[in-house]
Amino acid sequence: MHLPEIDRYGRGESPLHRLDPRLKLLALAFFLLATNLTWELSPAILFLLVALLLVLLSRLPARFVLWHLRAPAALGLLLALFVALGTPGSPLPGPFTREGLVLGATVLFKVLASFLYFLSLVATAPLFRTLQAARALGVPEKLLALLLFTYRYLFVLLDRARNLSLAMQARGFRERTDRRTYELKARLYALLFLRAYEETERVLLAMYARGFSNPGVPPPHPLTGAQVLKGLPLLSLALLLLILNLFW
Amino acid sequence: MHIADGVLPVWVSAGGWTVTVPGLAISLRRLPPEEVPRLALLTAAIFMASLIHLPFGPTSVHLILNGLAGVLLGPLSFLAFFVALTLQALLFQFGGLLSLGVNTLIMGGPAFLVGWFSRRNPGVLRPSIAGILAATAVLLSGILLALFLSFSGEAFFGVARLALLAHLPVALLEGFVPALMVAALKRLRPGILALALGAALLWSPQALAHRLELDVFPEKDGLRVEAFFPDGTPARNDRVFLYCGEERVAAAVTDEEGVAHLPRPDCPEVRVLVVGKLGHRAERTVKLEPTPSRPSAERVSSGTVSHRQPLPLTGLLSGLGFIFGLSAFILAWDTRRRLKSLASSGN
Repeated sequence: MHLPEIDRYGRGESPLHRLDPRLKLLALAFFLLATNLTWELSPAILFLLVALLLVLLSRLPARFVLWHLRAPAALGLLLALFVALGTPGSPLPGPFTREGLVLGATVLFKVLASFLYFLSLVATAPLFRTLQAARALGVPEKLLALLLFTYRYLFVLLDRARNLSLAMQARGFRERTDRRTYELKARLYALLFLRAYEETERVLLAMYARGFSNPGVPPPHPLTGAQVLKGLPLLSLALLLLILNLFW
Repeated sequence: MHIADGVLPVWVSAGGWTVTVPGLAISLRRLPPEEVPRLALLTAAIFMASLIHLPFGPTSVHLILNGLAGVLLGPLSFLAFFVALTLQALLFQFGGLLSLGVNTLIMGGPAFLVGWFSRRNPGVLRPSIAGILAATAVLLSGILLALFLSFSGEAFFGVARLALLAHLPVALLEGFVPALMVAALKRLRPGILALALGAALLWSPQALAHRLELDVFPEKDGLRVEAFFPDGTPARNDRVFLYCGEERVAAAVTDEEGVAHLPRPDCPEVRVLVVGKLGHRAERTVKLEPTPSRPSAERVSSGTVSHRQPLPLTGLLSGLGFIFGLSAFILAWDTRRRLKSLASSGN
C-alpha cells in the first residue's frame, strides 16, 4: 500500500510545464466539457487523439502515465462492456450489436480522453501551484487549505497504519474471512482514528504556539501578458473543440 | 465505486454540482478556520481506513465508511467526503473533476443524513445502531449510484443494476465493521465519542446557531467585555448584561469593535450574558479577584455557551435542498424519457 504522488513529475521543461496553472485549469474545464458533451463516436475519437497529443507534449514518463491509467482504463472497459451488451440494435456475431459496440467504444474513449486531459494538465505542475491556481479561479481558500492538510496527513497516517498492521502481523495475525479478522481490523481502524484524534490535539497546540490562526493558500502572482500569450494556443484549441462539438 | 468523467451526461454532472456547491458553502461557513487542521486529520483518518482492504472470501473489499464518518464527524462529513473524493480523483484516478459533484452527493449525501440524525439523537450512539446507520448509508449510496448511472440512458441500466448488487455484500460488512469499531472506540477511550461529538466537530445542535463567543477582562474600574464570532468578526450593537447571582446589576451595548465597558459590581462572582441578534447568546461566569491589577482572560469554552434553538434552520434547509435536488433530477429524467417516447411515437 503506498500513496501515489500525482505531482511527482510536476517540475519539468515540457511546453505544458511552462504554462501557468490557471490557464491549464481553465483549458481543462473546456476540454472536459467538450468531451463530456458528445455522445458520438467520431468526436470521441478526435478528443482522445487530442488528449494523447497533450500527453506526448507533456513528456510525462510512459510508466507514470500507464500506472495512473490503470483505474480509469479498467473502469472504462467494464462500463463499455456492459453498455455494449445492454444496447439493442442490429445484431452482430456473438451477444453484441452494432449500436452497442459503437456506444461502448464512445464511452470508453470519452473516459480515457477525460482522464488524459486531467493527467496532462494537472500532473505537469506541483500540486500546490495547482491549488493556488484554483484559488485564483474562485475556489474558497478554506477548502483548499483543507485539501492540502488532508493530503499531507494522509502520508503521516499511512506510516502509522503500516506500523500498526506490521505489529499485528508480527504477532501472528493472518487475514481470513471470519469474525475475528473483522474484529481485529475494526480495532485497527479504531486505533487509527484515536491516534489521529490525539495527534490533532498535539499538532493544533504546536501550531497555535507558533502563531497559527488562519490556514491559507496564498494567491498566485498576477498573470503577465507573456504567460497569457503562451497559454493562448492551448486555450483556443480547447475552445475550438468545445465550439466544434456544439455544431458537429 | 465512483463515477468517472465521460460517463454521465453533462446536465447530470452540472445538477450534481448545483446541489453540492451550496452544501459545501454552508459546511465551510460552519467550520472555523482554526479547526481546519483537525477536520483534515480526521478526514485523512477516515480516508486511510477506507484504503485498508478487508478479506472477503476469495477477494478483498475496501469499505466506504460514509455512515461511520457521519456518526463520528456529524454533518461536516459531507465536506470531509468532498475532500476525500477530490483526493481520490487526484491520487488514484477514481472519479473525475466534472463528476465530483455527483460523486460527493452519492457518498457525502448519506453521510450528511446520518450525521444530522446522530447529532439530533446523540443518545443513539450504541454500536448496533451505529452499524445499522452505517449499513443504511452505504445502501443509500448504492441506490444513488444506480440512479445517477441510469440517468445516462437505458444502455447503462445493466451497470446500474450491477453497481447496486455490488453494494449489497459491502453493506453487510459496512454495518458489521463500523459497529465493531464503535464498540472498540468505546472500550479504548470511553469518552471519545462524546468528545468527538462535542469538542471536535462543532456541529452539535447547540453549535448550529452561529456561535457567539465572549471574553471578559477585568479593568481598573470595571469590566471590558469583548463579543465576537468564531471567525473573529466582532458582534456589534449587541446587548450585554451583568448579573450578580440572579440580580441584573448593569447593562450595556457593544460598540463597532464588539467591546462594551461595564462598571465593576460588588460581588465576588459575576455572570456576563451577551444577547446577540437572531437568538445568539453567550454567557460566562467570572470570578473577580479583589485586586484587579493583572488582567486575566479565559476563553469561554463551548460547554458554557448555551443557545438552544428550537429549529436548526440551515440544517433543515440543506436537507431540503438535497431532497429538492434529487427530485429535480428525477423530474428531468422522467421528462426526457417522455419526450423521447413522444418523439418515437410521432415518427
